[in-house]
Amino acid sequence: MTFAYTLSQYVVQIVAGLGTGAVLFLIASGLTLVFGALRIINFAHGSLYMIGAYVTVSLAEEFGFGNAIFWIVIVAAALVVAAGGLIMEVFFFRPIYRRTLLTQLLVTFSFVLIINGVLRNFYGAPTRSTDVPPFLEGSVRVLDGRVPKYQFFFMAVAVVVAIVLWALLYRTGLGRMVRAAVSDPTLLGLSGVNVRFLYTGVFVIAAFFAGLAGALTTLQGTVSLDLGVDAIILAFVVVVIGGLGSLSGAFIAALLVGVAQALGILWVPQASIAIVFAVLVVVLAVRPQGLRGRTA
Amino acid sequence: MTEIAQQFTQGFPGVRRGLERVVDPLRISPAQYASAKPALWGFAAAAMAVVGLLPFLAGPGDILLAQQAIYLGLLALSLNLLVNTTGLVSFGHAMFYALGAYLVAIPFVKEVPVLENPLFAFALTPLMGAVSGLVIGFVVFRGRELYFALLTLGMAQLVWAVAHGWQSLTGGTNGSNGVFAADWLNPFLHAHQLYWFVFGIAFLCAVILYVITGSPFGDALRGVRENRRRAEFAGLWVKRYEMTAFVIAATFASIAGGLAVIGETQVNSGQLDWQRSALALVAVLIGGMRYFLGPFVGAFFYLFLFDWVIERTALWDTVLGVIVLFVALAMPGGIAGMIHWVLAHATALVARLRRAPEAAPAEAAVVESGFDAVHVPDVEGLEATAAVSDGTGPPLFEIKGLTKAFGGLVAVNDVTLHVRTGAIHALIGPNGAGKTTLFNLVTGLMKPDAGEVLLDGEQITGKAPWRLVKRGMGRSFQQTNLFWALSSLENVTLAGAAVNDATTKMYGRHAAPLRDKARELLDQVGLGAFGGTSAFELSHGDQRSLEIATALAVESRLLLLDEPTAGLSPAETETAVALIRKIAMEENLTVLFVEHDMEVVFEIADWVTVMHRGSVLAEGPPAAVRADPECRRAYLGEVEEEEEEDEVAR
Repeated sequence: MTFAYTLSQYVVQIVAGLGTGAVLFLIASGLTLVFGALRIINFAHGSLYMIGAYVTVSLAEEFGFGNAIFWIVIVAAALVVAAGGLIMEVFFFRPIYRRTLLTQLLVTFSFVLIINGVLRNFYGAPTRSTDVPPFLEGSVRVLDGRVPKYQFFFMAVAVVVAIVLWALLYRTGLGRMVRAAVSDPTLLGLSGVNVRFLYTGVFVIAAFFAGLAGALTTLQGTVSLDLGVDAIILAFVVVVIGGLGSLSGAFIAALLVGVAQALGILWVPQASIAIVFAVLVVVLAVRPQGLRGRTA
Repeated sequence: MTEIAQQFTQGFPGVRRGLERVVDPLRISPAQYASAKPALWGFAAAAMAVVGLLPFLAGPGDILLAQQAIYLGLLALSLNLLVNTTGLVSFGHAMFYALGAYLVAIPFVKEVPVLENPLFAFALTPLMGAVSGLVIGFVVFRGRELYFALLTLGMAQLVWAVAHGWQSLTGGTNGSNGVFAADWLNPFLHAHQLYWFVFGIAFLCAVILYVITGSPFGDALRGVRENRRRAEFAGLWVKRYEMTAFVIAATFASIAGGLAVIGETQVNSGQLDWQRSALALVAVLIGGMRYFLGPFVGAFFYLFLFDWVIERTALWDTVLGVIVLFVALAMPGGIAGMIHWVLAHATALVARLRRAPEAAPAEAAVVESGFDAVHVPDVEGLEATAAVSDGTGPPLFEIKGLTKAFGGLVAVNDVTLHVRTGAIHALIGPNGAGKTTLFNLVTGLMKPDAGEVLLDGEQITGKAPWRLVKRGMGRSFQQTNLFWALSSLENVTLAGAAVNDATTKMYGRHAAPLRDKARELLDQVGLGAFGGTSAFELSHGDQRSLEIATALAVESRLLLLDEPTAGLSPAETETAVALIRKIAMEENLTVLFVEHDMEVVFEIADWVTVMHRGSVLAEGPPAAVRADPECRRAYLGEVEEEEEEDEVAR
């Protein structure tokens, strides 16, 4: 454990942490949205993200990862995941909305197992990776260090997604209904809104962004079968720190967790993840409802 | 139609009707399920005997697998005390398992004096579990329900991350190097002896947990699960009971962890992450959380299935996932529930073949009558009694200058109120007058901004509800508030036990006097025949009566009733009124009640306080209040409007 690093080492690490935090936000935003509207904690959300990554690998192998193709590939991957999310919600989550917390957790958990098995069967255990599209190759100089270009790209995407989601929630009729569903789904149903469709819509949007996050994450490292589980645990931490159901909370917390993990790698490389959980425990011990949550 | 089939066909009515004819031609009644319990226990005993004698019956591979199922089963069993009995879903229970495991492994590797003997270290695992459970409990109980689940997950991951990262101590994923071989343990030179040691310890732990689950303490935990607020108003310090359950569960999880290290002779951080916690939950669910041994059934089923599947297909986790999904969606009773279903059908079939007379229909008829009948208690001879209070008697309950504001809205403004001993005191006022807020303030659900509350001269301002209940204050709520899944008798017994601290007893049953008293109270409110019926099956009127019985069981001197006749039919209202008057007389109770129905108020109250916009507008005997012009204008006039609004709302 050592803290003696130069300023530029710290800055580079923090910027990289913000980049990972940005991808984390894409995952966590969907998770928190689904919780807010559907009252379900979806363990399989990380697995959806992992499907996004693997589909991107396949598509990139097939069609290449050129500047133009890149955009098509990541959107296609996100759409594939959104379609998977649609099937999952309609056939398996609908029957459990009124069930106990335990049943809900286990149903979503079963999808972690199912998706893991299918992906391993399809892609095999060895890790996979893609190239980086030409326009994102190289790095940017930050003080004395260098940060890969794609980290800044992640941040840009996260900001765009945050704005889109915010506008969707607070500036459209759909968003108003989603917020109404968060506060009282029964009343919303009685007001003539088809709550089922609304739930499906929210779930599909969440799956889309999880798929997008999966597509982007192929740029920053290898794709393996641990991806889903690692992501869901971190996304839980983000959502809980931010406050369940809070989009702005998820944004702040995602960056916080990204940076905490990056600093953890610097300080205690063997247990960088411990820092993240320590942050979680401290935040919750002080504010059980999370940074931007309403009630615990 | 069985419960299981019903659950399965939830949301598919067509399928349900089809299944009713095909799957369940015998139409097994709940009573028949209950009568299959001895057969179920017989089955369990046989299964335990097989597991105990496994070394004579199976090869080393199966023995090892069974041994692993036993640690997992014990972990799941301890978890079920939280999940099923107390209603707390912990997603990080494996952290205690991990701490117990390392307590045995680390001293051995580091050659710590004395503790390097794994058996000595193992003897300390319960202590380790209890202490860590207490410390971690203080953190995780900051959250409720889902937050609790996620907090336990976070704490467990923190424990895991430390174990994972602190390689010099724990060995991380590589494990604790050089942990003793199985034959290192002197008493267990033979692998079978090790197996029996593991089996014996687990059996002992299961017996202890069984006793705790069935004890009055277990009843209190079930009460907390069913209805926290009701539990608090039965005099239970809910948080302390939850914490105790958490500590007990942690203790046994830690034992399971220590046992695993002794059995496996090694431990590594990879076995202890959140997936182990998830596995324990899966075992609980697959086995059947409503059955005591369900978690063991689940653990055996899962591990043997895993072993079988992984040899046959690369899609093993998909297969397991599909099975978990199926059980979660379609079999809420789990495998134990399935066995129960089979045994119930088998016994019913045997009974039918023998043409044994069936006792069930008669019983069902009695229960069904509970849905439409109102049970009028015997109230003869009470009509003549005169009013007790003329406003001059000694006060039992005093509210002095109580004030509460929500932001700018002063909901209760400087309210002073005296309830005389033996009075039936009505608190009336239009909606929004602050009556329920006042109730919440004096019963400890909210803290007042100013003022004080005295019970029998004793300062009780801002004290927690359960403390007030212990001092003799009972309360009913505007909305019916019961331990829903518990029977009427259990509802009343638990309330009576809680207030006397009899629910701290962790073995045996409730004392005989308590049970007799509960039966008496049920008789008193006219529910004597419904002792075995669960609260949610009672009609609304009967539920209100049961509420009053539980409020009486806590031996209250002062009864606070929030709209006791809300939502009742005229006939039920009459019963409730008669009941309130009857018990007030017989038990020498003082009653303060909120009521909108003026007929009720003027019929039974002997003192009335009128509240309006947070303040006391007037008080006096009913006749005086009725005559007071100001009251008529400010309140009684509004009532009519209100009733019209109610009409429209309906």
